[in-house]
Amino acid sequence: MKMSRALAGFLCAAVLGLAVTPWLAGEFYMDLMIRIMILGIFAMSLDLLVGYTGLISFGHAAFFGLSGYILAIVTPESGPITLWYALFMCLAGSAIAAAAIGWVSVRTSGVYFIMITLAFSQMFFYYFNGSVELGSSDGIFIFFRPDVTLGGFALIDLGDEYTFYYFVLASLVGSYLFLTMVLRSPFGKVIQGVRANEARTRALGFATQRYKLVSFIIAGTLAGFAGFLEATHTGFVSPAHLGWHESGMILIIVILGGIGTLYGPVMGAFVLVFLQDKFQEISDLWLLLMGFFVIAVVLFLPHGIAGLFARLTGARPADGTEVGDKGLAPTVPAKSREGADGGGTA
Amino acid sequence: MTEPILRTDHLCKNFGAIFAVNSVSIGFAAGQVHAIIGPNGAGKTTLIDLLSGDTQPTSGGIYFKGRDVTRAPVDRVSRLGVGRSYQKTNIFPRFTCEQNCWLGAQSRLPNSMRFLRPASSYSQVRERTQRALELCRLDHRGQAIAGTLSYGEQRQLEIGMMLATGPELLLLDEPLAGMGNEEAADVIELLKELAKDHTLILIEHDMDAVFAVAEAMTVMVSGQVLASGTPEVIRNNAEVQDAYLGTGEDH
Repeated sequence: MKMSRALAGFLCAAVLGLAVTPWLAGEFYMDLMIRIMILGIFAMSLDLLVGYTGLISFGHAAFFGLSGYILAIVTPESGPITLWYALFMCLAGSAIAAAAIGWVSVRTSGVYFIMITLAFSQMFFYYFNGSVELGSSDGIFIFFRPDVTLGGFALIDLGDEYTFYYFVLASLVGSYLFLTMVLRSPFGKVIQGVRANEARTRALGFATQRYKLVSFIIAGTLAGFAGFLEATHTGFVSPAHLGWHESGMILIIVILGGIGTLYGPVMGAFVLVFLQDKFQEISDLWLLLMGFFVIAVVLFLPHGIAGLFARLTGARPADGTEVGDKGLAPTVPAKSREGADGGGTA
Repeated sequence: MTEPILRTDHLCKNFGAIFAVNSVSIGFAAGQVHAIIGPNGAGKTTLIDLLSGDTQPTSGGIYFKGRDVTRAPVDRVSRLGVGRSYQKTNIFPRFTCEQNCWLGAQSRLPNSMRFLRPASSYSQVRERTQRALELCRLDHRGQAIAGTLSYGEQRQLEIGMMLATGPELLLLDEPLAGMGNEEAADVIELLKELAKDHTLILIEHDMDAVFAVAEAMTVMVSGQVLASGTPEVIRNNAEVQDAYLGTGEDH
């Protein structure tokens, strides 16, 4: 991934802006920003699948919600649990679920992959929806945020909203850097090859199914991390967290933001949450307004918000797709194209 | 004769009642350029698909260096040292030429489940990529987006990606398809160069090119082997002239 200077500058400024928000904005906006950042992590994890591996998952909320339920289960009613244990359980649980779902799902592709991930996430939904001891459709409360202690010392207090805000901000930046590292690694090159042309990637010697499965597990685990943050933030988890509404919403955020860019989906989360907030003030029919907005973006900004940003700064999106046609005209005239369709078949 | 590097044993592939490849037994000698010719629909590409693992045979066997690879998937066949180029250009159009070759070169790492170091820090992959670009004569176009290359250059890249995997044996499906004379001459030169230290199996319709490079030939008709032998033998085979080379054209 090559990053233009303008983009790097913008991302640094955005992080700085997020860092000073708690001092400038009230509690309401701080809460809203926490929600946006958590959705941003969730959306980036899905972008690894949709934008870089070419797997369109319609069940990504399964890991988001499952992780929240795991936190609810491991947190006792009498007091907080240590962060390390809670986080380990949430991530391991999400990873195992992703491995199981992924193992089956990556054998399919296209619309079948969409259907099978949707089916799996709905199984999770109905399980938790029908589970009386976990509150059925009402969901379940988590009364204590995890303790961050090391050797008996309390390092930070996640119960403090300011501390928690910076914890989430650090998580967002950390997740971005982690995914950037993964995408630059040999593994990252292979999954991007899978997205561009899976058959050719196989023919070059890669067992592509294995790479797709690992990508699915990484994305599922990171979605679980976002789910852990969400459940910690709200102190509540319900079946709605892993339903297909949630999966659809996060997919819309990724597409709206611009697939295959990582930062785009974070911008998508930002725009969607803010618009939701504004539209709700204006009208009861806010979902209708939201629908118009999504349609407008898809029609007029085919590369999402990140694509608009790239066009303004003249950068190329990370996945190499063209924005406009600048610089993509053949520089060497095509001599003979009569055989371009493959000519006769043998 | 020594044990062939690649051998098929009564290889069959049928789609329903239609035999695309029907009981084909060929031995490909190591270090030779072996051309497969035949009219459209003779099953040549299906045979290459079977050899490369892109398609699984209905029955029969394929042996590479004595190893049974009949049911080996395409990625395993590639890692064993069989490279393949496609008749219909099969590249990553939105990647640069370098990135196209990079994946081929990277596939020779023991595995690519590596997540920490940037791929660009693997110097042996970089060198291999560079060598492949030089071999297919695109080293000056490394940063060009593959989809913007001329058709001939895309065909060269197709071969370059295959070479980046460092194969011993090359399966080339109509490497000259759709090329102008000048470009074709370039590719024929490249094939001659590759023939020095590779085994080549080649499908080609351009008979001048075939007779210029081939050391052995197999003629296929309706999924079956009609004749096999040296170019001289094939040229003078009456049946072959009848079925394919065309009567009265021989001079």
